[in-house]
Amino acid sequence: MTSQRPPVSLTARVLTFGSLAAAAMLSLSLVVGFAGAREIGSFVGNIGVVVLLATPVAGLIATWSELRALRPTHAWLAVAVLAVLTLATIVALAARA
Amino acid sequence: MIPLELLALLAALGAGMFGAVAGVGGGIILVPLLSVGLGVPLHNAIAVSLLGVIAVSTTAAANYLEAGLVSRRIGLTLLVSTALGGIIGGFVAGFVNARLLAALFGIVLIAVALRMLFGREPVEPATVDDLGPLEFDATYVEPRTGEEVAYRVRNFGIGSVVSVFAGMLSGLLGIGGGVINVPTMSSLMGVPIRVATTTSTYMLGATAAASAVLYFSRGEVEAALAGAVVVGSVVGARVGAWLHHLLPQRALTLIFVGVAAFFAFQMLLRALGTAA
Repeated sequence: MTSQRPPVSLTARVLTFGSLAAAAMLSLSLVVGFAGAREIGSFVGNIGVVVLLATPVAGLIATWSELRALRPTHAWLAVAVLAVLTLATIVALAARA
Repeated sequence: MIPLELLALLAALGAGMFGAVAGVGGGIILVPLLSVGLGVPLHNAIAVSLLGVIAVSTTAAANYLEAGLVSRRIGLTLLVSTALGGIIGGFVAGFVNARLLAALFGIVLIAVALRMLFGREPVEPATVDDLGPLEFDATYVEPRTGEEVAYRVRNFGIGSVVSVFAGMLSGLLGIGGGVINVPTMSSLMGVPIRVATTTSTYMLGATAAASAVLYFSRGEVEAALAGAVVVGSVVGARVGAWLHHLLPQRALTLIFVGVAAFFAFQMLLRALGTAA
């Protein structure tokens, strides 16, 4: 294992962008809802929720890409967490069906 | 009449600020505030609180990563367990009635308040002796002093088992698992408190996402309420993080304990069916 620290900037940027995009959409949904267009607000809000739920997943993918060269074992841990989150989605979809 | 979303926004703002100032996260105050104070059904309050946890933790984790304060090795290892726990918690919550959840929430609130009052100081990190199996040495640069601090991570097995419970609690009650993760890492695994809190924050987003997706699939996420809570939580947590250094910690602890006791009492009354 090398002592060089793996980069973090991609993960940080992905997390920041995802949370800001979700917050922007959810804010918009609130404003639209207050303005009286509840259905449109709800639609935009649901997209914001999905973006928010996807943000940690995107962050883990970014983490994997940053770690795979310098810390391949740790990169596999990111894959393991992604597998668990995939399982969560499968359970959620099965529960919905 | 003031719309519920506006009240929820203010509640999330206050809870996010107070949670960041007291160092316990906003969810532990937000869920009873929404449920007891605003009459939001408990499952819906938990669902939107989880979304608030994701938003706050992903925003903060980005900053902590850039500052080099997160141990991704520890975080990713424990995340496998907490995310699994999050699925279990989120799944079980679908079968548990609101009164039982309220009772559990009341008990957890009391436990957290007692720990804040009488909790032990975290042990000093050490790197003596030979490395055992599943142990490793690591370092971080303390931002206040600029010094590199060495520490040895141990007890990964027990830490992972405890992390499953942290994830379950997060998924069941809509609180960040930090109330368990941080003491586990700092007291049990030898991780300095600075790295324990930042690494826990890094873990919370994925942990909460694992259970929030289950609430979302059951239709328990109301988009307008979610918008109010996410926006309020993020802004509140930012303000709280800024205020944290300005306010006396002991007074904050006592205020938190008082507020937690009040909400614990309300939640337990609800569990007994004697509250609205």
